[in-house]
Amino acid sequence: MTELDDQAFDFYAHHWDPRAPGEADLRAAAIEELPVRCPVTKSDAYGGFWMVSSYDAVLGIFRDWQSFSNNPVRAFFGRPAERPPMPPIDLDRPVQREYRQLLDPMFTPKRLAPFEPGIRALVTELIDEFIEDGRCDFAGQFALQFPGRMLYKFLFGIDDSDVMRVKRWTELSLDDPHGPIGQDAQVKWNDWLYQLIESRRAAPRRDDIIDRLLCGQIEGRPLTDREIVGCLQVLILGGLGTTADVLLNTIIRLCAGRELQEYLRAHPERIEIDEFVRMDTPVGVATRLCTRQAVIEGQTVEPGDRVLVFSAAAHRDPKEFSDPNTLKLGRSPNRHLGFGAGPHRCLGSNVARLNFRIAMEEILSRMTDLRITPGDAPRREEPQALTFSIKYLPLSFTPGPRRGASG
Amino acid sequence: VIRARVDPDRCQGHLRCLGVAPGVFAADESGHALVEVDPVPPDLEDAARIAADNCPEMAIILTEA
Repeated sequence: MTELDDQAFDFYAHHWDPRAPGEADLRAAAIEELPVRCPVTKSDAYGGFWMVSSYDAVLGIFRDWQSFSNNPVRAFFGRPAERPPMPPIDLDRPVQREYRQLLDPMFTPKRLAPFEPGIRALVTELIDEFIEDGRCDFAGQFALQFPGRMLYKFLFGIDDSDVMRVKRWTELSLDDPHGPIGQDAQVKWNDWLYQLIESRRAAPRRDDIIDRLLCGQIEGRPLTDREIVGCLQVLILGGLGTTADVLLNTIIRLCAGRELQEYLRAHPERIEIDEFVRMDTPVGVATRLCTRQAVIEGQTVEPGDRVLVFSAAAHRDPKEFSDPNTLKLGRSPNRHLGFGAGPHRCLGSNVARLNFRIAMEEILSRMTDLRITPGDAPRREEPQALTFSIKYLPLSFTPGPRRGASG
Repeated sequence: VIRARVDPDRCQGHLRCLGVAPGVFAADESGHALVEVDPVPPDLEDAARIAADNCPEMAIILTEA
């Protein structure tokens, strides 16, 4: 482990800016030390905010929705809101609960199970594209393709011909939210979503997510188009980078740990997302606004204070996890908070589990001797507060035959 | 004999228990956990304990009866 020197630690303890570029390596060291050395601290960045790193405190804040609000948090990092509030993530109970009651039933393992053959076919098709080459950019050719195509096709029932176009707009609006290209893509994406719900309103009912939103009620009235579009956007945005990140980080760990790679290849039933999410948490921080006085680890937090909940650091808290900086497949207990906790528990966690399992099963069985391509290296984009995206991952493996129907 | 209960006020639908002890726990229509077999069959007691240990919301209550 890289030890932080005093100066670096002081930066983390008092001045941390989660959006400052070039701090990925430092952050990797900081998450190991913060829960022990300063579980609660105040950064002076962005006008000041609390940063919470101990497991118990992070869990407590996630659960205490009456003291820690999700709304409004968009302006946390000193920028104006990038988009209108998206239900349900930007709302608090009790309205948030009504949204979840509408949406939760669509994301149960039972509802998702029928998608498994189609998801496997999509994964097969993506791997077919590079399996004969013995090398690929696993980010561009798989991890950044799969979650978006899966979401649009299976959860929203969008035709293949539209999926690539819409997925591109989604990516551009994420990559460059304030630039002209990103803003143009956002407008197109928005327009397309409004048209989609308009056409679905007139179409026969399908009993899917869009129908639930079209036919459902919130506070005794139908949802507005804007609320429906906001919901669909949060479902899409919530599933893209997160799923890509956990796949990418897991592959990097399997390249570094060849024994683990061979073990999972021989024992695919032991594939589990939880320990990988704990070690490389895709959504490593969350933001809350304090709405009534509360005490966190002995510190009094006042209404109006902003709180950064550092779950990636909480995952390295030795009071909760034994030997916390070591990856242990099948770790138990592993009450990680990678999918959050409390009322805002990740709506798509069952989708993530399903996608991860299918993808890893197919990758491990078809791509043997996985390794980072010698002489090349993964490339991370500058940290964006909420995720740590890898944009390029050069992989080499033993070439194999195509399998898909079109192969 | 071990009896299992899921506190519906605490359960948020992580469904970690379903992965660990599918014979003991099931998901309801909204994706929240419920107990399928109570008391817990002796051969599933260990699985039920692991499920309780791994619930992020600490929503699973096991009692020795």
